[in-house]
Amino acid sequence: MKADLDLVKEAKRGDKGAFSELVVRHQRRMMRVALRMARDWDSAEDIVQESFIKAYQNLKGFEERASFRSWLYQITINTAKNRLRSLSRETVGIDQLVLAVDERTEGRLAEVDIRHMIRDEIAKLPSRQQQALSLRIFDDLSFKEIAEIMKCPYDTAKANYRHALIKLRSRFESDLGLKQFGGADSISWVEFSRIPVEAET
Amino acid sequence: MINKGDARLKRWIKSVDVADELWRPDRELKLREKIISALGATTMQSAVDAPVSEKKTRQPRGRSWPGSAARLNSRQGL
Repeated sequence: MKADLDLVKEAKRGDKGAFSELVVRHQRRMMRVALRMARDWDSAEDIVQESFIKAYQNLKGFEERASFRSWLYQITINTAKNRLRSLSRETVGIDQLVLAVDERTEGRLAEVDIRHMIRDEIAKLPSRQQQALSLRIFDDLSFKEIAEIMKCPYDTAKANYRHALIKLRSRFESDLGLKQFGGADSISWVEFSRIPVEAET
Repeated sequence: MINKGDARLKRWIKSVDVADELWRPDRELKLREKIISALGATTMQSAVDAPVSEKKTRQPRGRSWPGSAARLNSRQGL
């Protein structure tokens, strides 16, 4: 199998077949990133299509210092951010959406699946921390790649990830005041709260 | 080093991945076809015009010593 950079070189020489191979390789990952941001298949599909077209149009500007995948992540994340920003002007703001979730869950916190709470808390993290956490845990990327995508030093990418984990723990422990949670297909809070957040390489 | 506790914490966070819930395997192939057919009508820009590029390695901004060529020249009346 050819390496991404070999396909990039062929695509730069005008071989659209080589670029199509890159689409096949990376489409799923980019779609998953877009889905996490847009939370809707049709919007995510538009984001991914636009991102691949931008990548192809600007391929000659890709200088191969980072991996093609990291570059594609950058384009997809930026495209999604721009699209969501313009949509939020037309529809409901992100802050209002978070509030809507809180109102719905208020008063029956003990019954709410811990999955939803973790998701809501992740959504409330600062965007850089959210991005580092998402790229690390959901996309399983190295900190080197995360740093390339986020355009920041390696240590900053790592610190964003660690702060996100620590913040999530602290929110669950103090802000929500939860000590115990059970359920057939949910996560035990007692178990969750005992996990040490330790250094990761 | 990844310890057992970290692995478990990650697994739990991973279990709330919204992409898993929204994933539509029936539409994946259609998306690929859509992108590839859109590429057919697209042309590549030249490297000079390309607005999307990798981050350039940041160069240290410290003052050069004993001075920039321009400052030296002006001091020497050139």
